[in-house]
Amino acid sequence: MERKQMKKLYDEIEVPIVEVTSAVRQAIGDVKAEKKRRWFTWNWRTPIYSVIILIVLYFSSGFLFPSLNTAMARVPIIGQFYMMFHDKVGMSLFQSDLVKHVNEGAESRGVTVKVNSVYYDAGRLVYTFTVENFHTKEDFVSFRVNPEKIDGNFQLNFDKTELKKLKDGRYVGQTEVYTNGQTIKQGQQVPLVISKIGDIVGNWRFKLPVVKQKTTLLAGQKDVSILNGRYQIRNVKVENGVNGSAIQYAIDYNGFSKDDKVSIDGMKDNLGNEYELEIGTVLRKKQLTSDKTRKDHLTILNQPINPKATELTFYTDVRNEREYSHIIPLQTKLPVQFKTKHHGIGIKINKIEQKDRSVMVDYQFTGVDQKELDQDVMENIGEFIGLGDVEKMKSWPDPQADYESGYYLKGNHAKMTNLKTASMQSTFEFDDKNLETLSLNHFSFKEYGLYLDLSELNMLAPQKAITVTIPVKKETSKASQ
Amino acid sequence: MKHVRLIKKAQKGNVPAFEKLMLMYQERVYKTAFLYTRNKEDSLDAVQETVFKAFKHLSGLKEPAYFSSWLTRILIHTIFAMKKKQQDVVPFEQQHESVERNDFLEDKLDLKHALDVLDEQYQIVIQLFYFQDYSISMISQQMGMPEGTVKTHLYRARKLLKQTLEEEESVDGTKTNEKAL
Repeated sequence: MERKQMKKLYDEIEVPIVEVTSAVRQAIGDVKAEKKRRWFTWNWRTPIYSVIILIVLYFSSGFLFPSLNTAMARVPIIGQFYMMFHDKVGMSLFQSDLVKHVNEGAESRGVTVKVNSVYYDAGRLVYTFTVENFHTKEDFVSFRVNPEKIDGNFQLNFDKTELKKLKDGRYVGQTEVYTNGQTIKQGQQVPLVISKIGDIVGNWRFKLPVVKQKTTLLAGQKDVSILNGRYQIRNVKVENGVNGSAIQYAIDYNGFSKDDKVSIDGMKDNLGNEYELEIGTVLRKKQLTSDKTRKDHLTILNQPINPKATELTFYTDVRNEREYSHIIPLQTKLPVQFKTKHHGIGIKINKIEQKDRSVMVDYQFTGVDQKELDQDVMENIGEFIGLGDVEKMKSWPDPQADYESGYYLKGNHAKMTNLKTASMQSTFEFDDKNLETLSLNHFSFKEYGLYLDLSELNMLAPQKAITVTIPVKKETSKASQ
Repeated sequence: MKHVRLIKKAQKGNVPAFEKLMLMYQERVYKTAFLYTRNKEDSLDAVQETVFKAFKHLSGLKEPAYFSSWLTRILIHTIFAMKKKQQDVVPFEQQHESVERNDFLEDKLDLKHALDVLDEQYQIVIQLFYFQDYSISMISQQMGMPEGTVKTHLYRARKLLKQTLEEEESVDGTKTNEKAL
C-alpha cells in the first residue's frame, strides 16, 4: 500500500468547485441563521408575547387536570428519548413495556441529574437521564462518567458521552453499562458517578438498580483448549436480546501467554446461521497464579441466536501476544539476537554506528517464512524500535509511553535492504524538523541504547484463523423464574 | 500564518473569516468526503454538515495550528453518522441498485470500498497520513496519542485494507469463473 498510490487516488478525485462552494456558502447561511436565531432582542412586543405564552402554558400545563396530564405526558417522553438517540432496542423494549422507570436524582454545583429509565438487553444496561438547571446555548454537550467508580461486574461504554438539548431547555443523555449478564442479581446496584457536564466539574452519584429480562440461554457443555493449552475457553453462556445476542465466557491464559488477548470475532451455529461481532470487551481480569490469568469476556453479536442450535463455532482472533522488551546498549558486543516465545520470530542486530546526528542500525528478522514477507509489515515493525538513555529507560515503566522529552526517540526511518535475507536498516535522526520536543538533545553513544518490544515481531508470523466448536444446551433463564 | 489569523478571528465568531477559511479547505474536505461516500450528492451533504458543525464547535479548538486534523475528525465523524442514518433507512429495491452500481466500478474503487471496513479512529489516522501528508509525529502531537499508537493504528488499518482487498479480489475471481462456466 504505497503512500504515493494512495495519494494519487486522492488527487484524481474531481472536485465540482461551483457546487462545493455553493454547499459551503449554504452552510455559512445556516451558521448566520443560527446566530440570528439565538440572538434575543427585547422590544415593545416582547411583554405581549410573553403574556400570551404564559396563558397558553397555564391552560396546557396540567394545572387544571394534573393526573390526566401527567399520565399522558410522562410515558411518551421516555419513548421520545430513545428516538432521539436512535435507540431501536430501547424503543422496542419500551413498546413492549419492558423499560423500568427509575426515579433517582442527584444535585451538584446547582445542576440536577435525574435518571428516568433503565432497560436490560443482551448483557447491556442502558440508563436514560435528564439534566436540569444547566444553562447553555449548545444543542449538544458532553458529559463524563468516572470509570473508576464502576465495580468489576460492570463496564462502561465510553462512546456515549453526549447530551442532547430538549425543547424545554433540559438535556437528555444515555449511559450504557456492560454486565456479566445472567450472573448479576436483580437486587444488585450499579454505582455510577458523573464527574463532568459541559465545563462544570461536579459529583453526581447514583446507585442504580439492575433489571433483568426473561431470555433464552444457551450454555456451553465443555471447556475447550486452544493451541495446546496456551488458552482455555470456559463457562460459555449465550444470551439472546432484542436485536443481538451476548456471549459471556472466560479465557484462561497460561504461561508466556498470560498477558495476551484473545477475542471472538464472529460465530456460526450448526444450523448454518452466521453471526457477526458488534462489540467485545473484557469485564474482569484475575491473576490466578504467577503464570495464569483469567479474563471474563463479553462479546455482543449482531442478531439473536437460533435457540435450536446445539453446536456453536467461534472464530477467534489473538489480538495481542505479549513478549518481553529489551534494552540493548549501543556498545553491546554484536551480533546479538532475541526471539519471541509465541512464534519463534527473531531479530539479529548486526551493526550499530553513529553518523553525525544520527545512528544507523543494521539487523535482520529470523525464523520468518520468506515467501510470506511483506515489505510494509517489515518496515512497520522496524519503525517501532526506539533509542534512548539506558538508565532513564530502565526507570520508565514503559519507554514508549512514559519517556522524557529529549532523552528518547520513539521511532526511526526503517527500510528493507534485502527481502531474501529479511535484512533491514533503521536510521535514528536526532533532530526532528517539525517538533523540537521529539528531538534527542542529550545523546552519548556510551550511555544510549535501543529499546525493543519483541511483541511487535509476532506481526511477522503467519496469521492463522483459529476456530473453536463448543456443544451447547438450552437453559432456563434465571430471570424468568 | 494567514490561516491561523483567520481561525482566531473565526473563533471569536467572525463569520466572514470563517467563510474564507472554509473556502480555503473546501477541496480537501470534498475529496475526503468523496473517498467514503463515493457519490457527489452525499459528499456535498457531508461538506455542508461539516462546515456547519465546525463553526459551532470552533471555539473549543485549543490550538489553531491543529485546525486541519480537527476538521478532518469532524468530517469523518459526520460521514459515519450519515452512513449510520442511511443504514437505518433501507431504500426500496436496494439490492437491485447495488448490483447496478457495482457494474460501473473501476478497479480503483476497490480501495475506496476497502476503506469502509475501517473503524473511525483508523480512518482519521489513514486520512492524515496517506492523503494529507502528515508525519507520524505530527499525527501523534495533534491527535494527542502516543506515536506507538499511531503506528499501531496505521499497521492495523493497512492490514485490514490488504485483507479486504484480497477478499474482494478472490470474490471477483469466483464471479469471473462462474461467468466462464
